[in-house]
Amino acid sequence: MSDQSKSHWLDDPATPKRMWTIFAIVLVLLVVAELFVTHHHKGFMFNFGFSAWFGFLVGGVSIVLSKGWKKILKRKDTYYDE
Amino acid sequence: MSSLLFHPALPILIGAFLILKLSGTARSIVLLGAPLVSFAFIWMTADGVILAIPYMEWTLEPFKADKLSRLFATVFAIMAFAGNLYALKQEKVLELFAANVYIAFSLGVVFAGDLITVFVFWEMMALASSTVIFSAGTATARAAGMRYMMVHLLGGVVLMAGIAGEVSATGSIAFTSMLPDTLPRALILAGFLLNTGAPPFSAWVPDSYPEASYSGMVFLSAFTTKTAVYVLARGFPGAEILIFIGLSMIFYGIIYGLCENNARKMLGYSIVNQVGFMVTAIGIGSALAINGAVAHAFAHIIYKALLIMATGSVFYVTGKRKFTEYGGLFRTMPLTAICCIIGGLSISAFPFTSGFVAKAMTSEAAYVGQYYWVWYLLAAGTAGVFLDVGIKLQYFVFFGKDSGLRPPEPPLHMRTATVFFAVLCVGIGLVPQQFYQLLPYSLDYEPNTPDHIVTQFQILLFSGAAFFLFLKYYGWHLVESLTLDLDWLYRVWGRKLAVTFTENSGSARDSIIDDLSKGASATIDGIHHRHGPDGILARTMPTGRMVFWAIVMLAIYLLVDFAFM
Repeated sequence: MSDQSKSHWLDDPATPKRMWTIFAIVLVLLVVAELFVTHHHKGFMFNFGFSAWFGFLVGGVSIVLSKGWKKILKRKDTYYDE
Repeated sequence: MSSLLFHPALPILIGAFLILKLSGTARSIVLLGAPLVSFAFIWMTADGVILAIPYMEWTLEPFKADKLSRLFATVFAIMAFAGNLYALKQEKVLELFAANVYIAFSLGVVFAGDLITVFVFWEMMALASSTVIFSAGTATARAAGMRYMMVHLLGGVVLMAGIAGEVSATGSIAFTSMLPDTLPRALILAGFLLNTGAPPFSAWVPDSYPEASYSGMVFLSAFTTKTAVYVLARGFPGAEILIFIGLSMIFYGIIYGLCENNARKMLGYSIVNQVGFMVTAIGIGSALAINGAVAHAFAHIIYKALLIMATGSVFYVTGKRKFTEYGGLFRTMPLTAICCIIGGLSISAFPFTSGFVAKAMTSEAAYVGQYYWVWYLLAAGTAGVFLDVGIKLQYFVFFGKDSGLRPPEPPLHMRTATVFFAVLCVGIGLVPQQFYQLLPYSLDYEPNTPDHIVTQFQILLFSGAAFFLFLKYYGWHLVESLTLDLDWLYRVWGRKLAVTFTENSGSARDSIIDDLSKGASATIDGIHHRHGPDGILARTMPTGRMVFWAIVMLAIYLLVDFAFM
């Protein structure tokens, strides 16, 4: 590894923690921001905070589903060559 | 006929043949100039039927234009320019030739006014695009190209059967809006859908496209599936079955994309996913939904090509294509990484990108049309795409664990093409109203409202939060594997069936061949008996008899002549 890459911000041990902090602040600000906007449509999907929890739920469910799907149908990547 | 000289396909088709003979600067000028001339022709073309040719009892319309065809042709020409720029130094001349012929035929489809012309260009596209895959030259590309061609020829047969049935039932070859309410129309729809990557034939996209070269996949990503979206938008708007098919494509793409370890294959899955949004919109069928579908197709061609250019650059400089081999490439490829991230944000419909302003119309159409369950599933699909291409792709290629690879940025022409498309993604997102003017229907719709921007950010970033929390507490565990798909049916089961048939049909085949050769011998003997040197028909006829009959004929002729003159 070169000296240049050692000094890269990606290699700084503090980077992940810093990223998490920034990310958490952005998430909170996004929910707070919804207090200051007016929805153009009515309905359950436009209730306060819906998009936040729905996004989180969909993200989680997609990951779990894909992991389960993969568990069932995973094969070696040379499967079709044999 | 002279109007055909201004058909937008012509400059690119001529260019394709010229590059076979040219090299160096002249080749570069043709590669970049032909799409520009084509672009000018597209915008010089007036609406309506430009050329009509009588053919049997019908009238072929090989050159017909309106706003819908012009929109697709415009993005095809832009794609041709950027694709040729990216592939400027491609040494495989066959690939460049085939790719440009393929683009020309795609333009042939979007300017076709009748079903026969659509079919002819449709089939030629299949052959040209197969050649793009074959031209990669590897054994895996040859095998994948063959599978690709078989699937598309099957689609062609289904489409041809549908068109023949439709023409026979209605007597018309006009390509207009219809519903799949008869068997021929259902077959036409099935033929079109096969090219979108709809189930059960979705696997051909991730199976074949990644096997093309670094530049070949850029071309392939743009034309076949989007030409299919064009014919669906023109032929089957409001066919409700498309909503179900489109939604299944969306979630197929997300789940398989999350399972996939090959970055290029993952982008193949995300093509199916994105085309799913367009197919769903066409199924909704309102003016707003059709605008959404075609705007999405336009935006998608650009951001998907951008993603494939960026990952193609990584493939070009590292020779690797798996997530398990990548990691930390941001260090030495920051420009490629930033462009790839912009593509990832666009495909995820991040506010202020082209994907956002395009997909917003489809969601709005679902809401306005009271397809609320479709609205929820489209929103879920958007969050899922962000996990796939917005995060997983970017994280495991450019960030994540350090693979130790320190590749340089790709050559200048590849960087320029990539940056050009990244700028377009952001540009369209920033000035959506100018973009909307290209769309087939004039509508008053503004995507960049504060509530829409905030909720879109929420849905995407909270979905991202689920990914990073999972990564932090469980880890992702990348493994070198593939996930079985329905192509297993023809790659394993179909193959076994063919092998078993060949082995077990040996004796039957021998007996059939034996019977056939006995029959043939008997026929030849029979002919020999009559026509051979000793045969009855080989005997000479007496000359006197011939002369007698000739005199009789002449006498009859003379009598007839006297009687009627």
